[in-house]
Amino acid sequence: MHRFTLSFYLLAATAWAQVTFEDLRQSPNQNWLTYAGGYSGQGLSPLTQITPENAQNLTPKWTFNVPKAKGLRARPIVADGVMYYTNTNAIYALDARSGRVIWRYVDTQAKKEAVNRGAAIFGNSVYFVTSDCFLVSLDRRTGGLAWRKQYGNIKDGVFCSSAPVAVNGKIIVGTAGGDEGMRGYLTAMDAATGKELWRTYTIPARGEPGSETWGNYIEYGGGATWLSGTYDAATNTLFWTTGNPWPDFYGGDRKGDNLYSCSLLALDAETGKMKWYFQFTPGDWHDWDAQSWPILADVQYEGKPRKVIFHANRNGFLYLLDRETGKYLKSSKLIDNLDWASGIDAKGRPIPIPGKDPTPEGNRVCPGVRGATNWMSQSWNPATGLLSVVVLEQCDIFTSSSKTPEPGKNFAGGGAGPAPKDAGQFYLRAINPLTGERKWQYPMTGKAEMWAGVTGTVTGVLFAGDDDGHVIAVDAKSGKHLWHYQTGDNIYASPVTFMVDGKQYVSIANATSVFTFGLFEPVKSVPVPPMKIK
Amino acid sequence: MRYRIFSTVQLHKIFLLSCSATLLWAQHAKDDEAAKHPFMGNPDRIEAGRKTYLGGCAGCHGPEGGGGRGPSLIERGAWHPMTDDNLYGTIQKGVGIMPAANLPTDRGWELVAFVRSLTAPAVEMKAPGDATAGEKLFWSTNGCSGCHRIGGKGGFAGPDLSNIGRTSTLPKLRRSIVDPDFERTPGFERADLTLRDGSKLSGLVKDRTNYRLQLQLKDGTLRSVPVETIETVELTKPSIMPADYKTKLTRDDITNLVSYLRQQGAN
Repeated sequence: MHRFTLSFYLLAATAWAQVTFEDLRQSPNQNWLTYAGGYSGQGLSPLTQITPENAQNLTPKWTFNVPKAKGLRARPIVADGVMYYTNTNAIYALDARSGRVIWRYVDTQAKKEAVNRGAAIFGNSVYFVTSDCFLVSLDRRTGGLAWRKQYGNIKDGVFCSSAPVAVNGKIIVGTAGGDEGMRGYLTAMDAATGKELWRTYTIPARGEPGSETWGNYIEYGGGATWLSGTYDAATNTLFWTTGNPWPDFYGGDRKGDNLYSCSLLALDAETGKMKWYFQFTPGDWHDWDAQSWPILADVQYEGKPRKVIFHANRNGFLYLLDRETGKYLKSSKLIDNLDWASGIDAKGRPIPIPGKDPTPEGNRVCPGVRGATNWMSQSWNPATGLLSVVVLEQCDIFTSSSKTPEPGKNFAGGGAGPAPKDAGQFYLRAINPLTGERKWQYPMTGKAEMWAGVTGTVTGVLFAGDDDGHVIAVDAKSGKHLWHYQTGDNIYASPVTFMVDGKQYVSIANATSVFTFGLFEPVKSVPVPPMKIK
Repeated sequence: MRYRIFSTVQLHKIFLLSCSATLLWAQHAKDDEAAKHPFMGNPDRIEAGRKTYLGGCAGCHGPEGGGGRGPSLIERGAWHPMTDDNLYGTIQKGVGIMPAANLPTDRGWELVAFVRSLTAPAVEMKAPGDATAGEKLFWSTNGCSGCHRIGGKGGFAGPDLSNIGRTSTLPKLRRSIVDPDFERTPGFERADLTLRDGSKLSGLVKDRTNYRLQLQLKDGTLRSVPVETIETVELTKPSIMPADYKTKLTRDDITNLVSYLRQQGAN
């Protein structure tokens, strides 16, 4: 008897050891410890229970209706059988086996409401940001508030939505608000105390290097950092993408490249200092944030091993960059409907096609404002050499306004949207990022409204959402449909997969609820145990 | 005429309803934007209001606002939709069996300020007592921290109090110390399980359904237990917090503790 109890306590203690930096480096495994699954952002789980052969046996296991949810963006993290899921100014700890709430924390002090993309975990703490830019640290066992520290002020035009990234004792957080005039930045805060350790602005101050690439409005230049980044532990480098320059659709007053908007920044995680940058869309007029995943991979390129980054950009191109220097290596077209640039030159700069800027009358340009892809997750599988990415084939009418910009007044310098009867179409595409070859595609029906991402496993299954509100499983080698389930609403989030008690699960949120699936098991009759109530 | 949907009377009613809806909407908008009366949150006025309350209202609403013949004033949901103006009017003019107070204007508003303070987050209210002494008591040997946590330290047997100043009120804080069963925080029933394999397991029930129990063990570890693995369950329903702090602690001790706890979540 004692042996059982003692052994249970030992097992429990092991299972609930603190989440270490090394644990984060090993994720994803049975856990899914970061927004991207792991530091590399590859979106590939090593779990093997669900395969292309048995995926047809997936069944819903539980649903959690997230209170007050309207358009959930968050991707869960899962540690030791507990799922942490965020919504606007709130976080829930759920039993990952049953979806039942263990604890909840609702931040009653927040002075703004915006979407939230997820949480981070480190030690015995779980972290998320409030819409008004406080980083909140909670005891992951009880939901007790350890601290909440402000790192941005909504009066400056910023708000916050990104999932923090925990890196070796630091919590890295980004900022949003680039469509209304603000100056984007990344902040590192001490994981234990919340003390700010460094702050790196994505738009230079007037007089600093790079400021010569701006005209007016550099103080409100944008360059938001609203998506999480990836991280290379070997070089202690953070890779974080930046948003559009402001005003979004009229660049007449900010002629130049507008550094470091629409860029990928490589930052020293210790100091926040920039190691290198690569700008995808210089002097952008189309709101083509670079907010899509910088995926870190080690590949054979031109016969030699090379550390690279894959980046599928909103501007319609898929890039291959050297991870150590940021040097441009190659690009290919993500989408067929791409008419603003004829290609990318040898240095990685787009070759623009004249006459594609927004105009007061409206100008049809491809891709549309939402881009060829966006924040949705991607999956890289080294075994197949394929990058799976959800793309949108859509063109929009872009209009511009040269009205004097007013920061914080919902002014973007114009607007964009599809013409009537010109809605786009989503595809899940598998592309060789080294050659640009498109191996297969999975076309989706729907209204071109979703934002669902994709997650893969080493067994060759891809989990994704489609444009009709289905969760789907697809064969990673062929793109063949394996399974689907209708969730009843649009999906704007990305899936995760994890294992608890020897069972593999897949979770994804639609607009209002978190759905979790696993392989079919007959339900056994559950006896009600004798219960004495004292 | 064939397609006429509403009669003249119906249209008249709809018109009146629309006017009422507009007025209600306007009032709601006004409520949202209205400046608070200067007495709201003012500790001196609240204290003056408390004295008025004890003299005239406590007989029906309870000495601490917990209710009696009259409704509880410490449950926010019961009267939260009322504006300060509505509350003032109700006090002065009475409603139902509640008589009109007919107080001088300032005394009426002091009473409103006191009633409002009963449901305000504790951290927003001033409280008497020595918070430092309360902190010392909380963290002393055999003190509250054996069961409760603040800032990641302490025990797991009771609710984490790190944010209690935001989520509770002064009256509730005080009452939960002297009468722990008056309002139970979910997730703190104690369960003693005998499992089918013969082993024993004890913990606090964070969640319980017909199919699974989520336990939190003494060290904070969570353990999700399928019901089919359980032989028997013994549940201790009342709060496991001792009920004798009213006599164990002095009045000053309790005041000091409340003063310390109200600060939690103040950052």
